[in-house]
Amino acid sequence: MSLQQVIQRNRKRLMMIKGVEGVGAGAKTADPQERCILVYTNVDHWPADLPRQLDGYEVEIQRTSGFHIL
Amino acid sequence: MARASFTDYKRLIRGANQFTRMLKCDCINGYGLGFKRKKGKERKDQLSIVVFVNKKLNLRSLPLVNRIPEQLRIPDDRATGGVLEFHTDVQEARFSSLQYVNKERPARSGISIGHVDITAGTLGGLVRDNQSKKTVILSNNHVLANSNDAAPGDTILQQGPHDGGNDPKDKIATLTRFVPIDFAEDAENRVDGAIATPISPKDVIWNTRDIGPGVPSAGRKLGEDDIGIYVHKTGRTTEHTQGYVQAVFVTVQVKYDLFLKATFVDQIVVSQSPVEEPFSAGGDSGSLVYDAGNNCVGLLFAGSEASEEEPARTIVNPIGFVMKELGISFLGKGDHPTEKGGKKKKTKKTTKKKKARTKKR
Repeated sequence: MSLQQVIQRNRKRLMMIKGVEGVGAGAKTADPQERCILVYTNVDHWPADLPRQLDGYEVEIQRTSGFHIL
Repeated sequence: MARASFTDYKRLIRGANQFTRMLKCDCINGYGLGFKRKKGKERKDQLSIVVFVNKKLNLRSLPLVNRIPEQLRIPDDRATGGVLEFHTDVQEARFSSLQYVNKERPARSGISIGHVDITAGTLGGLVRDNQSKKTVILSNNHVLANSNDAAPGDTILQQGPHDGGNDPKDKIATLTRFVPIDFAEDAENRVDGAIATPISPKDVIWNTRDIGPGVPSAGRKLGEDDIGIYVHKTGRTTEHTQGYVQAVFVTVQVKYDLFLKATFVDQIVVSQSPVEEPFSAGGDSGSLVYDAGNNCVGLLFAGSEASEEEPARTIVNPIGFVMKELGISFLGKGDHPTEKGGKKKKTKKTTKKKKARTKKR
């Protein structure tokens, strides 16, 4: 399954996890050539219920203050 | 102690001084040599170092290092008593590059615009309305249609109201239509977009500031392989900036006010390296985002603030969804005047060719 399909299938569930502000396809911090599932969170810790891996793709979190219109 | 002469003031201003540090930390907006002002009038007999700030504050409310005393006493071996006395005057003034927030006719893209009831956003670009076949202005729903609260025919100002735009003096267009934003909890939005028809085609020019004439003219869909690529935009607030695609196929929750949130899916996230200026800020909404080949990749509409731990991020609607949901297409050569040449006259021959092409489709 492609990364896009994995995200499409799981985005609703992931967005319901407390502290999650966004979910998308990104590059791994350690190896930018490798793809991963990027999860934007408004908390410093790893949110409870957020898996470390989904359908073979690693999950990475990125801290954000939240998104608003500009 | 001796009073500083004009030459002393000049030397102080040009050399290393405490105001340079204050300017660097954004404590002041600028400083220079001028006359002291009292009750709104310049005192031509009182040379001063004029320091510009956002708001004059009581000295007691400021940390010691940021206080500007009325007299500055600076040791100087050449002065009588070894000390030179300089006068200061704190005045309220802000400065910005005016070219992106000013009224401009014909207006290029990348500058201030807005619905009469909003603050200001960015005129994204000129495109063709597939319904009226007219050249129209593309920006966000929340810039041209006040986040669903507007009606077709409403006044659009350039510059936006926050930048001094007034109705009817600065009216440039009327709202044509917008993609409604669905704020329902389970709704999935893809576009925060709207179009407006210029009052006169002569009021706009097919040119994006800092990017060039005839832009936008083509678009491109971003995929997984585009993660990490360089993109750029011109916007009302941060002007021309560059960043990189951090994520694609993104689902995000975006706040429209204290209570109103909308979910957007299949979005693009742009970020920038720590040494670069933030890609966007408030007022840049409506900017079109381009790849290195100036293919339009999306419509900027939201973002997050930078903090010590994380850089600012910008949310962009993929251009394909914008074009489809608004019913618009890119302008072609000769469709509208650009800054580097007038509108090309259509000959009967080209018109026939176009008709033939349309029929084939």
